[in-house]
Amino acid sequence: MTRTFKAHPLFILNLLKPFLFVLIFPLIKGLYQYLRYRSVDGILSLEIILFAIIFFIAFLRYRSIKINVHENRLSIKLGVLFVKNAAIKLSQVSCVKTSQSPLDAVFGAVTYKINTEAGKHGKPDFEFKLSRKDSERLSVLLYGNQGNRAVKFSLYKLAFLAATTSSAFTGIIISVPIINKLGNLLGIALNEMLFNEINTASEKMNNFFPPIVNIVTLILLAGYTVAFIYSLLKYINFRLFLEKDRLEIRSGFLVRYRTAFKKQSIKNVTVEQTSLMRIFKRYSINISVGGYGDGQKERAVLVPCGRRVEIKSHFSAYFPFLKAEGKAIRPQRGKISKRRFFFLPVSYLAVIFFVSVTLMVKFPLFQSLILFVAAVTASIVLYYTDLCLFNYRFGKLRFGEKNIYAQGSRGFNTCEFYCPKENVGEIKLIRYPNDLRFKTCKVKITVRSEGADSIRIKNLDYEKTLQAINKTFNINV
Amino acid sequence: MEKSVLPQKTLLLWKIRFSVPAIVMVVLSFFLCRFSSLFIIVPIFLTVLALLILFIYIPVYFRRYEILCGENAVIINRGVLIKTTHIMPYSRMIYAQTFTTPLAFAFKLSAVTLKSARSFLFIPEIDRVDAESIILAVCGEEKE
Repeated sequence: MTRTFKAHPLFILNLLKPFLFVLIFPLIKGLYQYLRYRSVDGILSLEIILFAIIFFIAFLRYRSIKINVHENRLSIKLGVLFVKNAAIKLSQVSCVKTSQSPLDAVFGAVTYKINTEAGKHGKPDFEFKLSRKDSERLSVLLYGNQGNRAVKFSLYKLAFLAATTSSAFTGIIISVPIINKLGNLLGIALNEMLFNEINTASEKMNNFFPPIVNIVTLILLAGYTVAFIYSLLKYINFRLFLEKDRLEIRSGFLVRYRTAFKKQSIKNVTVEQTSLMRIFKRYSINISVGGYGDGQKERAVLVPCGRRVEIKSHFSAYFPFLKAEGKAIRPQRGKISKRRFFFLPVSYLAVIFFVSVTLMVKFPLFQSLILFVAAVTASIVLYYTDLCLFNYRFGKLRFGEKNIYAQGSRGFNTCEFYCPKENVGEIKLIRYPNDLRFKTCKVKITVRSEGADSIRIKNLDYEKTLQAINKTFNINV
Repeated sequence: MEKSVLPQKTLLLWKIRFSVPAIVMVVLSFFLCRFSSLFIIVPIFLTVLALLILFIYIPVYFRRYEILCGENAVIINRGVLIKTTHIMPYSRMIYAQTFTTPLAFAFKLSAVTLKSARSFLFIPEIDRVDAESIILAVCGEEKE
């Protein structure tokens, strides 16, 4: 039996969103001016005509959306003049994400995103608004009834996750366009006002470092605070619903998110530690689902935070089929191998030392600023040194009959990587001149997916690794 | 292996699609001749190029376009000067999508895109009924 669903009228607003700042807000402002002062400029009539045309097109597009669920497939039709009609096998739908903003909640609507492994990276394959009841019905048709076994996480753990995964740069990226657009809309130089405030505050701080250091520190702190609040609001109310074949994650405070996965759509699972998590000896479990997510990667947090024992028990409960198996291939033990791991960080430290000393001699007036920059860079390199030590001690690769397991560092995080053999897209063995000398290689494993996840393990024995790969994937050379 | 070629209507459709911007460009370039006789080379060159594309390249391209539907994969052979073979195994296919423009709709044609992870295969306009059969076949269903 075929079930048909139509979009919620609030979807028209979504279609009008790109014109919000250039057309709709100025129009509202113009109308307000007209009502209050009985005078407007000549642009208003043009804006009204443009708005009417855009609204009419948006209305037609909203009316054209038709979602049909057949026995084994889902078909989505959209467009008026340029018509798109997609057909997807239900088994190929990798995840469904719903989000409800406060405005959606008022009108009983839900933003519904359907993802497959195909489509544009970082964008949902299909996105529309449905009424809440329709969204629940559609989810049941796509994934069956929702799970009853809910796992909740304390606010402390969620705050910890938000604190350890937030970055000042993310906060700056989030806040700068908002400040600019809000300033333009209100007709005030909001960014200049904020900068003046920061400038005044930094001048009041008397310390060894010059005012520019204080300004940068204040901007970074403000950015981190914004990112932390944003992240906390996103993860708050985090709950995990478990079923035999399906997982569902719910989170959010102002905007409520709900994501359902089939366990078979999970490409790989990682147990990660950010730099702050390493200090507090906490871990998180992340999953990578084909086509999921709006960002660079297809990762979703499954278990936000926990000690090693807790994380291990969560992992074995949810993913017993991803157990690490096979003999571990590790970097060789010994002084030479250790030196090779420390070669880069030591070189970086030496470069920082010589560059900063030279600059301090050449520009004595900027000594404190140079010292600050050198100290910050050196501490980053020292952390990188620690990661290199982690890679030397714990870096390993296991090729099992069904799964592949790898442990190493990824960016500034440490990571344990679990992936079914059939989900591996590419294995790259990279050999630099030094690797040729010591008969080692760097191994990069990339998952077969739209926004593929990957991990690198350094200085593994080349022959052993090659043999293990050939054996695992039945390659006859 | 079942072999298909593109219908004649597709050729006509693409000729129309190409002709409209080509005519606009040629007319504009002739308009430039009013300013200097040196510009006469441009419209002549554009006209010759447009005619070559319209009456040689496009017909040859569409005549050589082959769609082979095998047991395990769809294979597309295309190209005039540079020949390309695109193979997409059914097991790697995620979903199929048809796309209809107003002009294609008037000709009862639809373009098909077969999507897989990180790649896609585009089939230019074919009969709408065939396009629907393809997307149903991708989903493992027969047309009712």
